[in-house]
Amino acid sequence: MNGLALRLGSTATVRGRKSRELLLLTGFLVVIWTVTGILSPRFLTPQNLSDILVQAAPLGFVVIGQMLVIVMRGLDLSVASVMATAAVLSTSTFDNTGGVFVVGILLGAGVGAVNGYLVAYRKVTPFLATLATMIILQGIRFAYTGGAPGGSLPDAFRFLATGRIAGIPVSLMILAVVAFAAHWMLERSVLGRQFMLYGDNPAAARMTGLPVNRLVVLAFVISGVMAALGGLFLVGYVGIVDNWTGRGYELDSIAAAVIGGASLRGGKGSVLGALLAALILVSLFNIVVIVGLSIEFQMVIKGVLILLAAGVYLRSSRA
Amino acid sequence: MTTPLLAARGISKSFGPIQVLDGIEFEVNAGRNIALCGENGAGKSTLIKLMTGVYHPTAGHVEVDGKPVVFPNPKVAIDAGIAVVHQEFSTLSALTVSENIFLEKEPRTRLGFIDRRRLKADAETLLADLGIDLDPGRTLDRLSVAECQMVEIAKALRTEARVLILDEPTAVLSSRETEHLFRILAGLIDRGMGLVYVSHRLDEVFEICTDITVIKDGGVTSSGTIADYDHDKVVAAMVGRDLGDLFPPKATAALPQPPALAVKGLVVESGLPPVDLEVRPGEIVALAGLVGSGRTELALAIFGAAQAQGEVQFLGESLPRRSPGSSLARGLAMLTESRKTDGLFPGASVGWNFAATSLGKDAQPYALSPANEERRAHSVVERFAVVVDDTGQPIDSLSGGNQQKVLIGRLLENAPKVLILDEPTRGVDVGAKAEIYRTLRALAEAGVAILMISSELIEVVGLADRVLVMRDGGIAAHLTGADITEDAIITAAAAGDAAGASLDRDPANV
Repeated sequence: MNGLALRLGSTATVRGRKSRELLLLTGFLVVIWTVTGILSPRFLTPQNLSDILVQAAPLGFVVIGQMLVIVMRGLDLSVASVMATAAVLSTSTFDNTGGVFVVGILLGAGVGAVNGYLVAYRKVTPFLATLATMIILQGIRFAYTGGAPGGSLPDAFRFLATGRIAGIPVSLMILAVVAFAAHWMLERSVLGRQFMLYGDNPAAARMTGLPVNRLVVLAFVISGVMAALGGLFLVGYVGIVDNWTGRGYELDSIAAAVIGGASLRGGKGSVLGALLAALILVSLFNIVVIVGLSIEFQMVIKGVLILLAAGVYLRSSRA
Repeated sequence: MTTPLLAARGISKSFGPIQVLDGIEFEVNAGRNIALCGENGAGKSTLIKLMTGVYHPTAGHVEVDGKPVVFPNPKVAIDAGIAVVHQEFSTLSALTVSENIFLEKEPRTRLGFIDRRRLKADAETLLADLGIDLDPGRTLDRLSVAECQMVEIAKALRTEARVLILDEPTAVLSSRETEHLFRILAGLIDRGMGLVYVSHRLDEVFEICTDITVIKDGGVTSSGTIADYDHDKVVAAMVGRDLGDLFPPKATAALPQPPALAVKGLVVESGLPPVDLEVRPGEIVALAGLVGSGRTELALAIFGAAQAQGEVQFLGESLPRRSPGSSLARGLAMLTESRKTDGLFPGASVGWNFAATSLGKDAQPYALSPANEERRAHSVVERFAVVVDDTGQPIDSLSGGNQQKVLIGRLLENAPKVLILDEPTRGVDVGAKAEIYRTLRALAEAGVAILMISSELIEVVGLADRVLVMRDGGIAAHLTGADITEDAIITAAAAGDAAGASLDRDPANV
């Protein structure tokens, strides 16, 4: 009898809620794909579906990092700027060697470390800290390129972003490996659990002896690295370097993380959900084109989707 | 007998297959103050919600003035003169006292704007009427918790209420504030209102209530006028057993030297006196004192969660740079005062909350071990009789007492050598308190040094081997053995503070 009140409130376990959300996202993706497939036979061809997946890969990288920062009660507005800067730097400083990747990734890690330092040790809000680094990075990038980025795209880029091995896109294979690692980290490792606990209650995390400041820095570093990777794959896919590579990805990645079940209040989020949501966003873009609607329409849908997600998750967390 | 103002007649309530209340009879009479007592989860809040239109009974009915009524929603109950002051405040901190009191019932001018002058005048009248000395123009963020509660009460009484239900009204109040509240309540009773007083603090119940109803497991186990009851009888009705074994026997064996924890000249905040204290393995030392005497601040400084000047020695070793993480790693663990603020991970499951301090302590330092987590969680659930269906269930679905048991279980995960506990039994029912006391004593007997902060004098007297009484940030008295009495603690805690010398009924609780 003592436990009556609690039994009433708990039909679901924490894990149960999460699986339900993933199921919901998958269901939604299947529904929009099926409906579009009925409307337009061109949509459900293997070629088009594989195109969508390859298009979604860069956002996939970015959203994994963004989701992690959001789990930690943060927000990373600098991801798009990191994408472009990593791309510009990598393609201009090195030729066809592995170094092209290393320098971009190091840049991402560095920016992430600065963000993390500002948030953890200087107590700057994530919004302001990453807004500032975003703008600073933009300035540095423009100064560096003199407004017109030069440099040719090394072949290695093109291959990684558009190549195929045994018919499977290389970018997807790499994303799969990274996503699996991230998933394992978040769900099965001590570090991932610490991220989740910090996001749930930072004060309690500190009092239970978790290395709270290091966790915050690490989350931002991971986000920076993932953004850099996303940027490199994006230029590889598009084929040209541009000062504005990845423009809009900061908001798209936040939207995808939230649609994928991450809560801006922290302590909630999953790699699978974030990736599914990224795929949904990219699919919608493709669908809008295929169905023949105007591009602007895609933005409306994106907004509606965010609101829908917010509503659904609110209900699910109260259920 | 006159007709009761409000009554529950054979009220039952089920949620799905689970019956929470079964045939409850409860009466609120004019000019009386009835205590509603019971352990956590006994059904007190459900009964209140049924009588105020939040829930609807599955059987039985509510009567007002002897006539059956149905409250489709809380507003109808309020209109019928039933007011409730909940444990959690509903006041808005950015608004003024008068705006809060008349929220959504603001007097209007003919044009439909809020009539500021009348708002202020009405608030002044109401506050004066209640004997509450507050400036209606001040915003709530500049008031103390106690003052906010006064506003809450004024708000409940802005309409012509005849019944006032108070749910744990003194949980957040100091003794002086409690006394003030009681004066206001006495005035309401004199005026012929009927009061319902829900509290875990039995000495308060004996002080201001005229009648009592005890519920246990959804049914009334005992009911009558307060004069027919004493402390033990109420507890027996609540728990279904005797209070006799609430406190285990104290330490008798000689304690080993050196101390497990030694604090030397610790200055928590500049201007405060340096503090020295020692806790030896095997003893329970209580830090007593008034709210605000610096107990929590001292504990946090020792634990390393707050900055301080001075020396802290742990097992003979000086710890110059302390942090919660390093303290825990050395075997110094702390239970914080507020579960919600810095104890629980509210969005996580029971199992996750258990595991938080022992992450990475398994064979594989980087990977989680769900099987080990599950096993450990189960052992704690069994040891403390935590009421939970599944350790995967969210922690916020547990009652406060059960949450506290989870936290105490977590505290013991890493076999600490020194334990600091800040109000370990806050919000915990009598049965669970006894379990916690037994656990603490057993730990002490196993050689753990325990430093406990408590505002409950009975607990301090019943459990502690030594008592340090704090006043104004320093240690004002050191009591041992037979000198540990409520009187001695009160005297030391309030000495030189004439206005505060009324701890007599402070938080002493069961």
